[in-house]
Amino acid sequence: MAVSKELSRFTRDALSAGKSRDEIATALSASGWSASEVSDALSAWADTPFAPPVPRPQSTVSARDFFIYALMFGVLLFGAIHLVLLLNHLIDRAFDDTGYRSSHGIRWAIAVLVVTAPTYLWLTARERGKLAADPALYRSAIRRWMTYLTLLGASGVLLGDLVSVIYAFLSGDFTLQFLAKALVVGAVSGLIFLYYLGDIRKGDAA
Amino acid sequence: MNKLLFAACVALVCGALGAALMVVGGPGHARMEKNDAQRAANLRILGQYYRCNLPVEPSLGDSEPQDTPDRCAGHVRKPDARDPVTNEEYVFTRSSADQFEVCATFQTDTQPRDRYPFQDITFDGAEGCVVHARTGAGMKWAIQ
Repeated sequence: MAVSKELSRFTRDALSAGKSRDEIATALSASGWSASEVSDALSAWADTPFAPPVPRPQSTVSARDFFIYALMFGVLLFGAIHLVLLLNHLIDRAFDDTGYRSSHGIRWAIAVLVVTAPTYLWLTARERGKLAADPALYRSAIRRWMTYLTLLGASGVLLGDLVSVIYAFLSGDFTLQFLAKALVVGAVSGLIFLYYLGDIRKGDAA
Repeated sequence: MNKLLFAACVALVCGALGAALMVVGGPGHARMEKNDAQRAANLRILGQYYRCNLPVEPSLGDSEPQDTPDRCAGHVRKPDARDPVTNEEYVFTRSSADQFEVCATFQTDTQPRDRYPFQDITFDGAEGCVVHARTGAGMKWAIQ
């Protein structure tokens, strides 16, 4: 949560004046600040006896981060959707050989993946290298937002996939073909979810 | 753990791309599929033209072989439909007073031939024909 400027300034002044953290918290609570606001305000300053108080590292926002991460996650989203579409086309070919069989969808998905997969790999490898060299980049607010949005999307797809499997089962439409498609959706979204969950945990630990 | 997941994603994408290319073939095969679709469309167009412009051939015992005028609007001139690869004309054969066919040689056999765009075409190996015949009480032309 963002801390207001007045609250931040007050906390810094109080710490500089030698007030204890408990005293500051009591004063702020009595003035109507919520427990989470008080906690955020105090945690913004390192708990060291040094004076003046030392600020803790804060999350950063930059236009460059937005460009890099929007591109990386956009490419991931576009590629993941087309990977699922491609695998679904292949499943249709393998299981159901009675409908109109067009190769346009498969060729379009191949074209998308040939562009998006190497782009995503390159951007990710580049980002990993920078994070290894400077863990401060884990504090990029845009990176965290994009990662959490990806986790939200992946978990939403996983839940929707589960719902559709149960619905198909109850409706009597649960075929091997349907199961294979549901597994593809689950596998792709599950891999993305687990990968970025591990990434967030790694960032928190850094 | 994350490296393993990343490797799994890469393997999934590479596997999907490889399988897809095996299923649909490369650009050469795609061109052949397009040419075959063009041939199928050409045979249909030419068939409709011949229905409306069949010459009267007394040796076959016909008097008025043409389709009804209301179905022949726009089929006065012969379409310039030729094989997209060889640029040769398609083979027209009138086997009887009530039957004719327009044939082409197709390049692929990977597309199911009982479905669009080949559902009207009768295949004998690589050769495919649209067979038109007059049947029934009204003796109207129809694709066989």
